[in-house]
Amino acid sequence: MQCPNCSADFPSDQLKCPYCGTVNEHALKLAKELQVYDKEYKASRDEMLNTGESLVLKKITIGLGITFFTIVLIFALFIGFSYYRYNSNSGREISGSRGAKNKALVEQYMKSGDYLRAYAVAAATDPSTEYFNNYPEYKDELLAIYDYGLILWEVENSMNDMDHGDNYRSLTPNQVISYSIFYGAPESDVKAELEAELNMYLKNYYCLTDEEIEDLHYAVTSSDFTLDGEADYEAVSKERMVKRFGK
Amino acid sequence: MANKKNILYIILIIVFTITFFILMSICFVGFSYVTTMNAYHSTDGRLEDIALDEKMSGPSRIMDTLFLEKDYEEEFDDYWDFARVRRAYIKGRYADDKTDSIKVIEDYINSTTYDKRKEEAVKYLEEITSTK
Repeated sequence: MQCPNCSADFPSDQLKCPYCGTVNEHALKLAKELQVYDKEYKASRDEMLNTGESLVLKKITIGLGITFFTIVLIFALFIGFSYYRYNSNSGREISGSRGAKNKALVEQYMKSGDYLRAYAVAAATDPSTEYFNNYPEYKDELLAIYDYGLILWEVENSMNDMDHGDNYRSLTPNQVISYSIFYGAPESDVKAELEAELNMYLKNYYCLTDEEIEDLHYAVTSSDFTLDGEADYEAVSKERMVKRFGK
Repeated sequence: MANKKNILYIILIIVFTITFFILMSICFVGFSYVTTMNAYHSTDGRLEDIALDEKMSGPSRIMDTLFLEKDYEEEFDDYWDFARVRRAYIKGRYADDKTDSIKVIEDYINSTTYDKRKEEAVKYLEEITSTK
């Protein structure tokens, strides 16, 4: 371009005339415009980068959230299903051919006198958790067998401890309650048979008299029962057992 | 504004990650519990349990285990055979009439193939008959 002052030729992008130093207004204007443009470009670029970064982070956040939630949900559902299956296992055999088979088993064991096994079948396959609603024809007997089983277990433990010379238990308050519950169960042939056996333990092992066994029938709580007028029937029973068995 | 949003997203990512690991730990504990219970309560698990119990404490605990664990399946038939003997023994120790108990134990001794249980049954019989 030509200098407006000295008319010398110089490149149009120079800010001053190299000969007379006159400011090239056109180039200056362009430079200022370029500066503004550069500034605006950088601001716009930064904004785009931040927005893009935000978008990426947003997608990552949502993606991770959905992925984590899905994994946890699948796992939780699987565990929930396994837990449900585990809990419902005890009731799995009450329907169809398995249910019929189990009912037949209970009947078979009841008739053969294998009462504990009849109880095991009924209890393991009854979703009413041992109210035996699935075996209504034997409900009373099964409840009596359960109480019998608990008492027998205590008697057995006491005998084992005595055999080992340990400080064995005599007639405990828990057993008085167990007996009381057993006696209160509805009458049946099975109950009568088991009652005879349990009374035998009271008489021949715990050393109670017939009258004391009869009294036990009327004990509602463990404190209702006494031996020789003593509330501490555990100690009285123990004394008698030591005298009888020498242990 | 964009920076604040970015910080929020980063916080959310951290929170999601921590929550995920906590929930997965809880799920893992639940999974371990359920698989252990399933294994324990499976027939094979209970058979293993009763066999180990018999090995450690002898056959005398068989009846209790069968009753408490409600092991009714046919896989436990042999154990129930001995449980009858054990019940007969407990009854026979103090019963006035030991005939039934003696018969149950004798029948078992004559029919069983399990040596240890047979030995135990023989001891029961000896004890009952000696206190007749």
